[in-house]
Amino acid sequence: MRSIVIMLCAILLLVPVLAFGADEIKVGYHVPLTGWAAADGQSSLRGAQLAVKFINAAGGINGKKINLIYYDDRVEAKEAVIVARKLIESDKVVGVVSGSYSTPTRAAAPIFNQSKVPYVSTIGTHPEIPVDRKYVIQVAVMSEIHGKVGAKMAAEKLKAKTADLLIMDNDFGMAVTDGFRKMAPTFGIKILNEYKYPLGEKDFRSLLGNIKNDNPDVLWASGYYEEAAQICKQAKEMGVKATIIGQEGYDSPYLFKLGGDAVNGVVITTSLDRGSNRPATKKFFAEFLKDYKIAGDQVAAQAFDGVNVLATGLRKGGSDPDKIVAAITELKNFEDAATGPIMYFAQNQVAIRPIVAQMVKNLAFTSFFITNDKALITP
Amino acid sequence: MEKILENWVTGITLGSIYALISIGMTMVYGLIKVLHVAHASVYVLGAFLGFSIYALTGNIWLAFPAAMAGCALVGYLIYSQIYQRVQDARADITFIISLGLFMAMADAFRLIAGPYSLSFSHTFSFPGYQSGILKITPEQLLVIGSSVLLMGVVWWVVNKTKTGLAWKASAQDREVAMGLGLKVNYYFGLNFIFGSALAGIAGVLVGIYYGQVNPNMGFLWSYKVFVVMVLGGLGNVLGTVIASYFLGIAESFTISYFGYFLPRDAIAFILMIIVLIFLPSGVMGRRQRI
Amino acid sequence: MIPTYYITVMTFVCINILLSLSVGVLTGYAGQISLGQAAFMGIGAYTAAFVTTKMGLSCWLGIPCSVFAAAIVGFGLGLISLRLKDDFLAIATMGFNFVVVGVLLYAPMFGRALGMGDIPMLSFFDNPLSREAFLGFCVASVVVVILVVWWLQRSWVGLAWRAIREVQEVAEVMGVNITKYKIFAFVVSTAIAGFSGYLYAHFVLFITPYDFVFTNSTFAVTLAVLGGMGTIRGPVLGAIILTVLPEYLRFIQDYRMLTYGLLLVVILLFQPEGLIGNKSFLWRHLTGLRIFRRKPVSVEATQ
Repeated sequence: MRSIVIMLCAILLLVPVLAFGADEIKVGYHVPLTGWAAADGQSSLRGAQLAVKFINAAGGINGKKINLIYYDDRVEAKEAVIVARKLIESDKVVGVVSGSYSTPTRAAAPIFNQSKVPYVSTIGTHPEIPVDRKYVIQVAVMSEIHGKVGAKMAAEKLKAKTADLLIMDNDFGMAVTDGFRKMAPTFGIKILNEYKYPLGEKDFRSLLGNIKNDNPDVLWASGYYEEAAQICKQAKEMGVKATIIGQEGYDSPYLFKLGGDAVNGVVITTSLDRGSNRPATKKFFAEFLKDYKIAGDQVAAQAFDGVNVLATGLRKGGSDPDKIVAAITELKNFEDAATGPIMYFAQNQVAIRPIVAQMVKNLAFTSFFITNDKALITP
Repeated sequence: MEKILENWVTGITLGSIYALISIGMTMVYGLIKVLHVAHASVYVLGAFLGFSIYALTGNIWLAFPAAMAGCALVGYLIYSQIYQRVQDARADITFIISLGLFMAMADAFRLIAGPYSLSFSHTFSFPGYQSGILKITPEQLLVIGSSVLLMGVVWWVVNKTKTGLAWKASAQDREVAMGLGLKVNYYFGLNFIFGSALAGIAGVLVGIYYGQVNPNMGFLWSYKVFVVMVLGGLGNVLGTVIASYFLGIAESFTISYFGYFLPRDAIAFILMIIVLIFLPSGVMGRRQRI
Repeated sequence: MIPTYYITVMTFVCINILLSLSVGVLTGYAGQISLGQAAFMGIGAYTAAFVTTKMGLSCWLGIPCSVFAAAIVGFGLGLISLRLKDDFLAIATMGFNFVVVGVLLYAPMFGRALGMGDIPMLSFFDNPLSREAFLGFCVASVVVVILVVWWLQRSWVGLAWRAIREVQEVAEVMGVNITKYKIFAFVVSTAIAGFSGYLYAHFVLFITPYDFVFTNSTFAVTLAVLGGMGTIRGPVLGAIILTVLPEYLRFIQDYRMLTYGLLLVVILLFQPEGLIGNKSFLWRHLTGLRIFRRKPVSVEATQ
């Protein structure tokens, strides 16, 4: 017993020193640097750091440079909670961008909201993240929208009448499919069968055999680029004829590296149009390639956009959280986004943007389809 | 009908992979009664070594001996520097040590090779097999063929050599074996080298089969290894091999006909728990060690 | 006013102490290995979430519900454990963890992959507890649990557990009811883990199945082993160190996991009894210090 009392006293001796900043603007960032999502984490961080570099090179925010303070959250809710507290109190940031997936973002959102720290989500797409939290801003495309647009695109451009669904079992995979399922009847697509698979699965042959027997026109397959590469390769190997439709999770140069030729002909729904001539898009990819010697991906582009959106808010709103959020949600036709223009912000601080489809030709994404249809692109 | 054949082929290929990875770990368990979790890291190391040699030389066949050599060395180091020092510690302590090593190595891979998956594909000069509706890709042939070959080697070493005999003796009763003059540590070391080399080959094969290597690949397969080891009877090589193929085939058919009513690992574990309820020492049990 | 960052970390320390004690009871005292404690934490957490969000009941009702739910399942696992030995049991509990997570992930009523959110903070007559108050509640809970465990291990139960752990066959011959005490160990251990889940749910306010995966079970075992099993102070210290240390290591956050893994290996290689386990270097020397001695004792008497 004594030992425990003495130990608890010893803890109080562990008091780390709080840091103070000079004349700079501190922006917080949390991202999975280690763990199973380290790959996306690295992309995300790079995108964010590139944005900070651009902003600082152009004079910073009202003359002050941005200091991006980032922490590892390992895609764990409890890490995000600790990191959120640290950013708010120890680092005293004026705004935070989440470069992480839905779970940590969803866990941290209420904390930032309660402390009135503007919080921008870039790839966390959990529908509850910004709801009833006025300081939380959603820049990522809500998952369902992919599905809804995907259905229209499949019917109009791919002339599809039948579809099979191959669903990744996490929140992202299921939500994008919900959208497709909902809209498919409207566009005359009949869903033949649904197959769910666990996140991280590498072997789809058993399911693909069934899909081959169903013989649908298109295969709506949700997944990240690793799963996608395997799905495409194995589908081709087994002779599945359907056109595979993916979503922004596929968007990464690694899709081509890991999937090879099997990926040609695949279509994805996303907000990033690589075939576009928009200066923001071109500049982002050119600079990313130059700095990091590897092509940028969706995750990096979204992170880039998130930081830029927050910076815009900081420019106009200073350090007043209400003004910062207002400055952001009032944006119309924000063209500085690398992924695509943000048309406006809807209810619950959700960014609305046109959704595109890209087709893979010769191992590159090319423009295929675009829509501004309000019914589809608003959550 | 085609679907059934496809599932058999997929199942046998998966089973071969499970077997190759599990044999090393079950052999280690049979001897030192430790769940050598770090074995999964050795397997990942093999994949990376094979990939590196292939990237450097362009020769896929060089990848195998490179992986074998590297893994054998690392396996031996793990035994001599770590397991040998904690020989009489409690099992859970050694398990945690192994786990710590596994985590450290996984992160080391990430730091050295980067977090991204690296593409490891090679078009083989030999064709696959196609006869009517039965189709086997070259990669599948490679995996199945290698496994059968290696399993033959394992069987021969375990049953027909002095080393194998020494292993069986030490597995049965270490003190007695030592008392009879057997250089137990030497044979333990040999066991690690052998098992680790096998893991190295498994790593290269998996890398080729799925066309990629990444620092997290250890996590995916390591859990299956436990299931297979338990089903086959911990420490029982033949049981493990049979269980591997059984699991691979069962999984493929179950998923094909019932879909993923649970994630793949959970399905495997439910199967395992059901078997354990009726056969608490696994299917082959303790009747035969190594 | 203490910054909320510290309060947050301290709260996680308390939750982890409970998790670690649950392993300490089961494995440290009764010698039954379990690699599935995170699943019980999950059962406790999801029960707490379900009771408040789906059933709209008072959050305090969650305590008996979470504890009971975890204990019932623990009872079942205890029954299964009677047939399994050592490493088979370890792997079976690992499998159990996977199955529980799988069920939570695929069952619509638990929110599937989206988890359960908007869990209310504990409140007293409609006033939500402040973070400081919640920490106080956690600390009080930890104290209560420590007292319970301490009392248990000093009683006949503890003696029976020690007998089962050290010399099970002999204990059986001497008439100790192995079945009863083994199952009791499981029930106590999982109840504690379930309660830690309850606290977790009402603190993070958003839970997903991924919060309770097998990796967290190994984390729980690590907490207990590092400090030293077979004691109460061991798991407590282990929990404190392994919750606070990663925060200190943030400055090398890219190497955090590597450091963590290596530390584990090195510490346990040289101190397999844990940092302050009964036979460890630190403990023997600490108890040898004068400030610890109540009355003059000869050095040989320190065990």
